[in-house]
Amino acid sequence: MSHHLNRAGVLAVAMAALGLAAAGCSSGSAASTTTSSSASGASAASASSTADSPACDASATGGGVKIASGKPITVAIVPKLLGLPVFEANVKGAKQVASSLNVTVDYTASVKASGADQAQVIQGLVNSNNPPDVIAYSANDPTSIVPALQAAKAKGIKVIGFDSDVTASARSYFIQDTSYEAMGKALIDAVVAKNGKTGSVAILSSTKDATVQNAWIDAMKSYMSSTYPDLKLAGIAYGQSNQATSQSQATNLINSHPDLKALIPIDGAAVPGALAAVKSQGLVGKLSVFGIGDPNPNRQYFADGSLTGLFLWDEVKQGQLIAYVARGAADGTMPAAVGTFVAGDIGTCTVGNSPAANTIIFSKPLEFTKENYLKYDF
Amino acid sequence: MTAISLGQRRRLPAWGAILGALLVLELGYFSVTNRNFFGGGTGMLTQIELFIPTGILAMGLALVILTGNIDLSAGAIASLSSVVVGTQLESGTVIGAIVVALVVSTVIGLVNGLIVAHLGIDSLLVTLATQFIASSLAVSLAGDNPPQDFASLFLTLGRGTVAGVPVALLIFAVVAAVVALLVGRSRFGRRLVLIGHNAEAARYSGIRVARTTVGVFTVSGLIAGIAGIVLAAYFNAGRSDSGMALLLPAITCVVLGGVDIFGGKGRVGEVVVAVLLLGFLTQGLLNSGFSSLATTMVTGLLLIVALVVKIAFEVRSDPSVLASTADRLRRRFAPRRPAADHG
Repeated sequence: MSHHLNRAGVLAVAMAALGLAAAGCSSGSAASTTTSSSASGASAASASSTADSPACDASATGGGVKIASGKPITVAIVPKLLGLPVFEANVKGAKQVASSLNVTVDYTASVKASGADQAQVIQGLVNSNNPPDVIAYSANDPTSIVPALQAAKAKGIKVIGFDSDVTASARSYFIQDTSYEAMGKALIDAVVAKNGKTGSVAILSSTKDATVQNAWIDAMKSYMSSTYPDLKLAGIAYGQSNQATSQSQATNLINSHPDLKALIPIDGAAVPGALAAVKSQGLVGKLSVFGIGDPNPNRQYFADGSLTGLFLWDEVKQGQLIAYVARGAADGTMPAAVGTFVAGDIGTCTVGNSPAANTIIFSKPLEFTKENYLKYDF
Repeated sequence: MTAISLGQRRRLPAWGAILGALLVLELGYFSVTNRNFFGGGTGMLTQIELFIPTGILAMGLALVILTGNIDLSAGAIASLSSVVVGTQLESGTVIGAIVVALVVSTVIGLVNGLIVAHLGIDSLLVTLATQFIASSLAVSLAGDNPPQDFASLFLTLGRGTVAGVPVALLIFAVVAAVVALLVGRSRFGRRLVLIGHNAEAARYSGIRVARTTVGVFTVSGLIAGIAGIVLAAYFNAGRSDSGMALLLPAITCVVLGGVDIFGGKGRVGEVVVAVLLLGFLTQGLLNSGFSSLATTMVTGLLLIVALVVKIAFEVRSDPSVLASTADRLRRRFAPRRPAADHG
């Protein structure tokens, strides 16, 4: 009798473990999507040699092509997966300006954050009876959707990316969230403003091959060594885009470096993981946490003071920019690199060739604080 | 104890016919409703390109499941294979890279088999463990910059066509044919089915259960390796997470193809039809404008309906589907450990 139970139990445990392992990719990168997770520009790594173009700026008086309305077009926005607040915010933004641009926004994506599933969704759009005029993706990884995007291109569909890129040759334009250097600088400046120019910090990233996170790490490292040589990087740990793993990795960092001044979690799952570790070690107020992530999942930590600073960008406005760039790409009115265009209220944006070809840097890092986090809903 | 006769494998010829009819219906429907589906006949074949690695993996899993075991490491082995072939391509020849990847995959399969057969640990647990090991190896081997941008000769394996037929589909066809022959026409195949039907009886009738089990897992490792190579060639990159996503869809294909999850019954040809059925269904629904949500839901529904129909077919003499399922579970769990009851 007990054999049956034992075996059934073992089966259940094993399947649960398998489920977890499988979810490791999906729910994990889901959480991390806010920070471009394990994906993005294959060419991003080779970025830092040239300076990035300036981010979009509403106060700039440059000018350039003004993106305007035209014949009706359909834009399919295909983020990493369905139902994530940051992408919902993107879509909300795109829809805000859609009617003024004569754009119909079609929001579709796979249920899981899987590159292969996303490729199927894009292939489905390409093969449908009414293919969209523009596909705007945020890629789960730099390679899986490339064949599908090439098929789209071959059919005359314009392809643009946002948040997480693929190889530059597979798309026309890419809207990068923010400059890697600017983000690295913003984080380190925040740490220094709080803790001073000395001491040691540790970084909690997602996975070892997460291109965007690696670019941020490189930016932080080079900014530290050039500007604050007495600030030491004690270690880098990887939470695998999983909150529980992030928490245990953060606990390891804290325990193996007792003199740590600040913890810098740089992916959507790492932020709550690091904060949970800091709280459970009783270090709230003693160890500061500056992260990259969206405000909504971290509201409680703003409220209780354990989260000292959080950076991201305005996801709703970024969605508006997606609609503008889609309109420009469909009409062929986007300027060649290096050139500028005007995207409504967002202002003047630059198409540049750094870090990758035809990249538009959307925003300067936006800091969320205890004072302003309630203004944002993503 | 049930009497063993290999004829039982042929108890339900209708299943393949049902799947085949569904496939024809499906292809017809999508060809009529979606003007980009048919593509002059061969265009249709490219619709399931994305599903082919899953199909290849399902062939190896079918063998393992026929013996009443499971191989949860197959997806991770495919990932590892894609990373190994990628890193090898950076320094060596195409043939050399493929050979190394296949050897690595086969060795992991062999290890699975040796542990399951000789230490008597349940395959579910063994392959769960090797799944973690293979994924970790893949992650560490891939490093910060996973290998990508391979020689065009290698990419042919994933995206090339011969007379309009995708090369990857041909690879799937060859793997499927070999596995079908292995199961249907060889003594090895008869043994593995018998083991799945009743391992004790197989042992008493002089079959070397351990050796056959080791062989089955080794072949599954090899086939997972092939799936990984096709993955790497299709996506032009070796990624440590590429194969894991194939595992559950592949198991779905095997079960939908009529293979008994407890072993001993099933035919490879029907699994092949199930692969085509699911592959075209997924892409066809997406082409028709259904969301990814609807598509996965339809897949789930199809699987449940198929299993219920199949069990109903098989147990017409039994009082109820539930009773027969309970009986099957009892038979699955009871005979394995005849001794000591440690409450």
